[in-house]
Amino acid sequence: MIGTIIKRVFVQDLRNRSNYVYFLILPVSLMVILGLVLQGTFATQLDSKVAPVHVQYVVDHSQQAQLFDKMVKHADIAHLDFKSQRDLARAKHVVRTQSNTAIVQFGTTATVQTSKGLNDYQTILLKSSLAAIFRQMGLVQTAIHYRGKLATVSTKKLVKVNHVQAHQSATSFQYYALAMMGMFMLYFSEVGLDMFGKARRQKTLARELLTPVTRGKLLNATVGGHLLFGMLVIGVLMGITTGLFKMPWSRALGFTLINFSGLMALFLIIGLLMDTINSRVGSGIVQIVIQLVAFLGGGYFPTSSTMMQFSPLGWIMGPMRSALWTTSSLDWSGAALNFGLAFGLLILVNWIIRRREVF
Amino acid sequence: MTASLTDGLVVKGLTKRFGTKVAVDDVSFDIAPGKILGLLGPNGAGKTTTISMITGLLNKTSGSVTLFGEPLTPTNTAIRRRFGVVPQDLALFDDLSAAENVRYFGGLYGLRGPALKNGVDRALAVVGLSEHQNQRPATFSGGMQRRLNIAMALVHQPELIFMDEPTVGIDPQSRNYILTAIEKMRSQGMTVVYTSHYMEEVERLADKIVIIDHGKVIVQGTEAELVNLVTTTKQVSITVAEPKLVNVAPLLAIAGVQQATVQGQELQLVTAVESNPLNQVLMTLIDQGVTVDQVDQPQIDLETVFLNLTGRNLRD
Repeated sequence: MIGTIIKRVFVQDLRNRSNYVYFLILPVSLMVILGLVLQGTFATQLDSKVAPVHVQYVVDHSQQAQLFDKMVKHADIAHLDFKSQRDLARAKHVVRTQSNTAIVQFGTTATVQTSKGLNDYQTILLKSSLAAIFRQMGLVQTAIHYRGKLATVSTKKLVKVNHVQAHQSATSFQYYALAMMGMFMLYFSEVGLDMFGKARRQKTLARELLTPVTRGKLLNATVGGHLLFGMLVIGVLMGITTGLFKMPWSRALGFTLINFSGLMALFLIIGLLMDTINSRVGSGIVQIVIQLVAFLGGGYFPTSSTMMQFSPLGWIMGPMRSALWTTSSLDWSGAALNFGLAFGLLILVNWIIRRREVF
Repeated sequence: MTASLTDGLVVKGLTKRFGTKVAVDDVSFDIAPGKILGLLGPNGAGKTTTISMITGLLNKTSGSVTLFGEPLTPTNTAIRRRFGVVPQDLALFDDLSAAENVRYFGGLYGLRGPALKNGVDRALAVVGLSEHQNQRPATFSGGMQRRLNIAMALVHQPELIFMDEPTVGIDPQSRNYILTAIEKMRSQGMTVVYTSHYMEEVERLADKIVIIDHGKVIVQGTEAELVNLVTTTKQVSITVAEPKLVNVAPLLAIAGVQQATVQGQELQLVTAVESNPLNQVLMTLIDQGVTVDQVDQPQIDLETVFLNLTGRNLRD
């Protein structure tokens, strides 16, 4: 009996064309629009945006200069392209006429000259790389002076990036893919608000109650059918966002699915509760709740962790971002809170419905 | 084997109050298995409220309902498998096909697998919708929707079926189809409780009639018993070609004939309601050499009964 009801609700949800607009087309469109509009706001992938600097080095015949020449020939530094240049005048002409270029003139002292328009990142990169090379040269010269054994220093170890706590960071599209999916889970409260409304209008609810099905079974199985549909929506959105925005769901697939499901279940049942208490007022209250929860939870733009604590959306957004873009341990507290609240409210709705004469 | 009354439906002292308003007041009736009970009354008489209480959709204020010898209580859901309900309002899922609608309710009644498939096929066949089973109800005419509404109550082959005004707002052809289907159900042993404000339907179908008005049972019995309640005589009008040849004395001697008068071309007879002297009267007239052109025997219908008992028409 319960399976029959779940199947019927699921099929009806699948055949309801407005669901496709509401839960697929609209959120994906917003992900694209907001992701495009706010592109760059969230991006931290600087390395992929830096143009390479073509460094010409001009060396004399001193020992230091020869050492520098040998070191840069073997150096492999990202975004810096070292090339030997014998003709200083030619090198200076290149720096004057071409962007993203530099000269390192090396004799007894080193002189660096850059083209106009090098950005801060390129300048810092050039300076720090040269500093590292000079430091290395100092070590070599010391070893030569004392005829000692040179300690091998890998250039890779000079700058150490902490890969332990960070995956590649989220793009604006990925940020809004996560946020919009969370936001549209809130709109399942609209489904909850009309969960039995249509059945009342079509008189099918009264008819179902004439069968051996109890009120509790009918209520809970109907909720179950919508939950199943909601999980399908989450799955489909995950598939679409993986294809469109390279969302790294695979890093925490089960975790994110459960987190979204908890939020969806909570708002489905909030809508149902509002309908049970007073559908006319309930609709307005639900709209206010959705906007507040979305705003506080970072649905529209990033918010502080303090604000997120007051939103069921915020309860899961932080843990899901951590799960997707860091290797921190999974934080289940948001999902547990949402599921716990949903379960409590469902018990309340069951209690109210069983006490009333008319469903 | 004769079924006892307790095997069917027994309603005793059923009462429903909404605040101070008494919607159904001490209603009692019963129906034996395999029979059709007609619950007749004008709109707002309390028929639907009575059915809703019997089927458990509404709580009763007082009274008892026994179905197949078992008390019908809100917790006794198992007994619901044994009856079906055709609600007054169309109750169809418009986004499911006809077959899916019927199959869904079959599932709610606990049917599975081949039993469910057979139930769906049989129910759709009874109402003549087998060829339209994959269409959605929105594409159906009003009559077809009504028939689907009935099929959904038949899928689990109930022993008793409540039909609350199942022919409201449909064309005569569909109405006749439905009434014929109900007669078939009775012939197959199904008990039917049929509410209507169309007295012709109740007259055609019902083995027993309960007339209800303002929430109270006015009268109940067979059609003949109800007619007998309001009159002891009936009138027969015979149009003859040669009124001068009519001799009323032999006619008055026939048992059951109380009066016989000739007015113009017509011979007017008053007979006792329980007698049937018409054949003998016609034979006597033929013996007298009278040519009979036409015989009119106005029936006392349930409308007349209702009018006599309540002072108003059924459709007021």
